[in-house]
Amino acid sequence: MTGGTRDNDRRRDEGFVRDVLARTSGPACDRACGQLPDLVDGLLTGLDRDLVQGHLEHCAGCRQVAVVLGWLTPALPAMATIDPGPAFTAAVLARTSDRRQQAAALAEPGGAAGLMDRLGRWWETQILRPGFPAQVAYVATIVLVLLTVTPGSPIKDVPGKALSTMQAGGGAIPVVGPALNNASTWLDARGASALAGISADLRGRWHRTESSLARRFDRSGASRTELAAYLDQTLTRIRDGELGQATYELFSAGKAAGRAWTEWWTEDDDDDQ
Amino acid sequence: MDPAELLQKCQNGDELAWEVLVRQHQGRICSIAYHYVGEQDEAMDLAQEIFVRVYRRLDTCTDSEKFVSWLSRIARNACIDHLRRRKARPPRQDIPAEDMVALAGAGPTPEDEWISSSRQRMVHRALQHLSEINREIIVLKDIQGLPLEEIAGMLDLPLGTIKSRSSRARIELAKAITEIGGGPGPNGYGAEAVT
Repeated sequence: MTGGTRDNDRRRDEGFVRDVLARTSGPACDRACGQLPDLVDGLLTGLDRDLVQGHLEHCAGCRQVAVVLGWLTPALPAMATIDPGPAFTAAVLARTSDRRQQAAALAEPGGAAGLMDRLGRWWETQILRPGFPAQVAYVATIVLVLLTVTPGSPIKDVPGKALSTMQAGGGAIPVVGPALNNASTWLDARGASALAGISADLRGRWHRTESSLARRFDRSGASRTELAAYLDQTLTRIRDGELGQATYELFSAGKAAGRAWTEWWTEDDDDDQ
Repeated sequence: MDPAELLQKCQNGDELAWEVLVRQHQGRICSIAYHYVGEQDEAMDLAQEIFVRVYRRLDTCTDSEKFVSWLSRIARNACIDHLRRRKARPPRQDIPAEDMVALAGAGPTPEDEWISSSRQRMVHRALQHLSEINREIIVLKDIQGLPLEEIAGMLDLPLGTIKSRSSRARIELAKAITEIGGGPGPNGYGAEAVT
């Protein structure tokens, strides 16, 4: 029998086996592959070993996987370390040295300072969580819903009123709607002379408003400057990774903002003019 | 030097001991970071960050015999944090699987030079195609050689699951390597027979 005839016979047999498997159990590759690690590790013995090796003789795909597993097993532990080059150690030592100096400067603040430091670190871990924005949105939605249905809430029934107003048209808006309608009617009734009078009146009001704003700016100037300085400090601390100190600066900024707010809205005799 | 003594000195703030510790373990940390994130520059930055974390938490390591596991756990957590932050950023252009065959035959890149062996390069590329859990098991068990119990603790999975997953992860890796051209053949790398 010639080699060509033997090859043809083998191919015919292979085709026959594949057809039978396809019509019965399906290909045995999954089961054979599942045993390949044990075969490579030498843990497979007896009949199981013969069965897997028998499959490998006839299945090129599984044989390929087995060969790769053969060299992979000793190759993987050789990848346990990678030489990062000489600059790496120096870079790590420089960074940890910075940390050491910062730690010494802060000297582990205790009491309220320590609490603020821990709060800062906790907040940092919270905002870095991927689910944080979704959770904030979820909580905000719940709070909003509760506020619109809770008796005594300042915004209770607001959505319902807003909806009915929209359905009724612009004129139904309380205070503003009728006022707009009246203004329109009034403007229609008056001529250009009346508009000129209004314009003069508006100019006078604007001048008074302008001078009031200038006084408010002057009055709250120091607090606003302080606020800007504290905010600047906060950003610097955050950039330096000193979250505890950043929280302090932010707290001081809040106080300055409060003072600026009070000074801005404190009425004096001139403001009422 | 005795590991316990070295750790003790580091915990007492001895800069020389810390330098020795960094030199001893930097290869391992760089390997973990590289196999998790897949890119050299990112891995180098991340490895530095891992050492900063380690330095800050040195006092929490009480058992010097388990120092490597403790170190690997910190490294693994840092890598996971990094990958989560990266996911939040716009995705970079992924390389289609079919292009990997062409890449496998392309000339060496700077990244390739970092890992000198062609087989290791191939394994590293194939690792990026595995599922997250299988990649972790390969990196922690087969590459780093950590005990299965430690890996189960790190991944918060039962020990039995890790054992069964381990074989499947190796098979998945071998299949990924054959798919990107690492199997036996004219351009492949696997020449040895298995039996």
